[in-house]
Amino acid sequence: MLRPFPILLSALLVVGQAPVAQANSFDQDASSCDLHDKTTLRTLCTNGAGLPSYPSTQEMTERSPNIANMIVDAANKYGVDPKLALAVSAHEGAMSACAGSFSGVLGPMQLTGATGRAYGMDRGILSENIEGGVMTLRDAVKSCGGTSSIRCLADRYNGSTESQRRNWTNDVNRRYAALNSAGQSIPQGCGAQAVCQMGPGDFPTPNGGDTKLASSAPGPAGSDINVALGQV
Amino acid sequence: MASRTILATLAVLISPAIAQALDPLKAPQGSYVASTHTCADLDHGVGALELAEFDGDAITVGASTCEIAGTRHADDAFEASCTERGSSSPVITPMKITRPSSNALSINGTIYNFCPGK
Repeated sequence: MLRPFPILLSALLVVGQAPVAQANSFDQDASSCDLHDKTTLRTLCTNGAGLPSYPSTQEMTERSPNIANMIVDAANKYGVDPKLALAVSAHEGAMSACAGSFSGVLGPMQLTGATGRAYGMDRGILSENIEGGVMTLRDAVKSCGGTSSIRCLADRYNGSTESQRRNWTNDVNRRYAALNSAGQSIPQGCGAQAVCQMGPGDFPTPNGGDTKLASSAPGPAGSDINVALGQV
Repeated sequence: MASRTILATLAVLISPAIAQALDPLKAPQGSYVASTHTCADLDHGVGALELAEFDGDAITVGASTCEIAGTRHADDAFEASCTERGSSSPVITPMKITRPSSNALSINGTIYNFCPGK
């Protein structure tokens, strides 16, 4: 008679547990790569906003290529180092349209309503969220006299509690350094042409990389046209 | 008759558990990190939304600070008063907050663990 009780009770307790949030449902790229596009975050985030996952910055650029390229475009537009803008977005909103905290702070740059309005931007529009964030960063860089003090940028961009500023400094510093390290490539922007295909005279550099300049003349190819001396 | 006995027994068994549920407002004050991380991860930085702070009255995540003290209207349901950084007009925001263990807070389903001294 009493034997079902522990099973029933266990089942009830399991059902009563709060479900663990599926962080990945808040990882969301833009639907197109265009800094002039006016798609709203509400349109993109049908499940609302919440905690995204925060992998490496490189993984984020692969996960959200449209947003990453739009950040690079905005950085170039406002004269900000694109690697710094990518590192800041990676820390703030994981380059996700649907990153959000409780009261409506949203998007890849986690732009507040007040900051967005100060720059004439609607933070609920993805492209304006990015532009507003990059404009804030531009003014932070200007105020700090450059990008050498990430802590100074944290004070200007984040401006919240000491723990948050310290965390901002640590995370942005680490991500920025990683993007600046040798061999790290970043997106080139929405309008960028694909890297040129290999052509005559081009060959890969011995240790990888994108350089296509020959350091010495390649040997003759079968497709070469031979021009007799004196006919050039 | 048997079903009544079962229900009554369940009520006796479960009610102390409810009564002893940990009060989130009595959680330790300081920094919390999302359960996908350890406290040591804070030394090299975590995502902005992966860090939460609790001061006894309010929870801060990212640029939002939500006063939760005095806003509970059911066991885990709060009508928090949330203010964005740079704003002076709070927004009433429904939040689900529990304390699944003495050193953890669950905020809208996301578990944050307390990091002493961070």
